[in-house]
Amino acid sequence: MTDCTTQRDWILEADPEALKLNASGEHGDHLAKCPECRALVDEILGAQAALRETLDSVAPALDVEAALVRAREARRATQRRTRWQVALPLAAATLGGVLLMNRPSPVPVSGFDPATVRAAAALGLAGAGPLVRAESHQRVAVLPTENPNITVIWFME
Amino acid sequence: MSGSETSSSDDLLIRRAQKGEPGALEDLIRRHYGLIHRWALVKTGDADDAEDVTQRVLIQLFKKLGSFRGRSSFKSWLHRITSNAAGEFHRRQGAREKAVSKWDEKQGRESAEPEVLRRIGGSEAVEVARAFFSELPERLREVFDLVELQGYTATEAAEMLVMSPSTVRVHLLRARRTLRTRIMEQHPALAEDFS
Repeated sequence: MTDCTTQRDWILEADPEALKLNASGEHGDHLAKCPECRALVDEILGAQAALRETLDSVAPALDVEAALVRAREARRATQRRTRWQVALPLAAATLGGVLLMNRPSPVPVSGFDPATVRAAAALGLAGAGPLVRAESHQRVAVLPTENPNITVIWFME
Repeated sequence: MSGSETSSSDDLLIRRAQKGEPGALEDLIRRHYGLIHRWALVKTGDADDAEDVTQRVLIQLFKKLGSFRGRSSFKSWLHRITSNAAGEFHRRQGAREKAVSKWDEKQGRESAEPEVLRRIGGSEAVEVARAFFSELPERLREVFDLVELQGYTATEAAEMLVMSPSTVRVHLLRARRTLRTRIMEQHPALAEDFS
């Protein structure tokens, strides 16, 4: 059966249409007159048809309507989680901002008399340290002007 | 319904769903639910895992349909979403070996799925399905299923699988050879004639 052996490679890779009984050409002629090769081809075609039928028949266990309900629920849960993931950092940032704005003046209190501290704060220099310093016996008056860049400071004996 | 009719009514449903029309997305999902599950089954090799992947795909559709621009066909896009969902599932589950062994394990016990296989296709179908899932790597299974069993052209399958049509053809020949060799081995009398 040398001829059959030569056909084997072709049978293993051939298009199913070419394997069918009425296929034309050299291979078709061989299949028409060789019962052994025909039996092998029938077996292959039968097995492939069975596989197709099997895969077509394996339906999902979950009904589509139930699957839709689950998917909607899961989607909503994800959206809720996403909202929390956005809201929590936002809330933390807001709280941080509020705490930052209400924190005590960073101007060091010790070493400066209260008048100096007030003057520095009035000039918007909190944190930068005082530019001017009142003597301990002096009183200080801070007078804002119409020009926001100019503030008058009186040191009074 | 022909392929082009399916495609044009898909387009209509997609447009309606993207505009937020109630029920349109659900109709689209109802239409493709079985197909998604089939693809997931072929990718995972396990009916339970396929259910899980299908569910993930549905969630992704709720989330991502708005971003579908029609640059590829809807089926290709859907297939890619299914592939990604299965990939993510594999990564989480620790993968393909488990799927194959689960399939084998299921053949030996009286679970519902093998019963379905036996009832419909008989023992031959179970054997060929077992060979399909255990002998063929995932990529070859997908190609074989899309082209040989579902009737897509090599070009259509190539678009779905993001590979060239010539690679699809090579995979198809390799899958046929592997599967048919296994079928032959199951029938020694037929194989003897060639030895």
